[in-house]
Amino acid sequence: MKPVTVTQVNEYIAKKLRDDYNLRGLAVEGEISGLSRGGQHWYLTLKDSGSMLKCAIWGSNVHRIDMTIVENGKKVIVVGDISPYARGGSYSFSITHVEAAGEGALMAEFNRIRKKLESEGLFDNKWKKPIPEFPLRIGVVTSDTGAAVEDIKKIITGKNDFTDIIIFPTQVQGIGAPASIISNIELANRLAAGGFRIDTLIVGRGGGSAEDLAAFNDEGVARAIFASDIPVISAVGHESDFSISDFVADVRAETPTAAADMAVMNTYELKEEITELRSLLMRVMKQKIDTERTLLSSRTDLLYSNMKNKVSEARNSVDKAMIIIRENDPRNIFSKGYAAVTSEDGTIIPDTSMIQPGNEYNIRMRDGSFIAKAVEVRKDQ
Amino acid sequence: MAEKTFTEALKNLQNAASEIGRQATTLEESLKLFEAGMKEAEFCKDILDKAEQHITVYERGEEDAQP
Repeated sequence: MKPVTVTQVNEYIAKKLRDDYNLRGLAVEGEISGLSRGGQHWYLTLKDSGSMLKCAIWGSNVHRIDMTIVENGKKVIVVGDISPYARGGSYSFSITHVEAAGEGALMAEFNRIRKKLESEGLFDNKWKKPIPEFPLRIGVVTSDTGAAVEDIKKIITGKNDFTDIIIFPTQVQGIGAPASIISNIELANRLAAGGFRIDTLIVGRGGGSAEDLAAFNDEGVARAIFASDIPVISAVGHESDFSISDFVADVRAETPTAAADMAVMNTYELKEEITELRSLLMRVMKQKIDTERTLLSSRTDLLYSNMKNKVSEARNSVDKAMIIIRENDPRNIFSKGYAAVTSEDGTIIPDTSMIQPGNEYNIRMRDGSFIAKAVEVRKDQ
Repeated sequence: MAEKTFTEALKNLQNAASEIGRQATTLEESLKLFEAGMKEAEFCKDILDKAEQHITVYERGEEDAQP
């Protein structure tokens, strides 16, 4: 077997420590001893009756820390991360916050993480992803034995017979709960990235004491929710419970029941809506066609009646013209004893000036004509 | 993907239903809207009818075991 180098061992261990969520954002209670200063940095040891932990307050964090409570013999709660030092084969606790140990520490820690994440912008609305309207699959990160998971299943299947549910059995309280929640959020995202579709994650649990809900105030859990590519609905405890998870999630649901309700569409209503829209389309189409048909028939009628009017107008005109023609028939005049004088080629001769004595003219009467010879022209004076 | 197409199809169907009833929509346009709307309705109905809901509890394999 080929031996590994010292560096490889230390770097391997350092990586393990860095990757462990349980060692991040950790609150540790103990008594300060061996406080010393080196340049910008402060070093101290935190101890309890059984063990001690080397700690450092780096220069870059000093301004954030109330240094008046940092003194030998003082009992404190420090918050920070385990930071490995590969070259020295050692690790220390890098302190980012210090407060006096005692009552209200849980609330103080809640506020500290809340402020910290808020100042980093993790609660900003710009990061909030919309919850998909038509999910194929919902992931549920919660205990598979609690009441919450039963509520979620009941609500989803009550209104939706389409969306799949995948439950990631999760430890939601006690030591190890934050790690379990984080690892399942990450697992769901890995599955989704690998092609197993998960549209929305519900992360939460049913009601309980403040300690029971504490895992959802964990900084690592908050960061895992923030980092999730799958939209997250947080659903922790009851309506009155607020957790850090609620602030980073894309949407906060007041309860797991509410989360289930907002996660899926009502497929029964959708089916009804589609049926209604179909019949509306058919009804309106029929109406449209009927209207067009009526319109068409009334237009055809108008065309007919207009045509009829035109024809009868034309007939009237013809009748009138015939009456006029009849009235002006020259034979009517002949019957009163008048006659017409024409030349041989039939041209009417209305004036005596056109008559040549000695010429022959045609005289037209009612029932015939005769040829007459002009003897003398007598013009009226 | 199905989300987009279903949601889109439903929106198209809703649009067709509201457009077809308008006074200004001509008969030709109405016929087109009718055909398109009915197609979208079939599409949506098919998706909803064919699905079978699954509820599973994820079981961690070794590759998923916590570090």
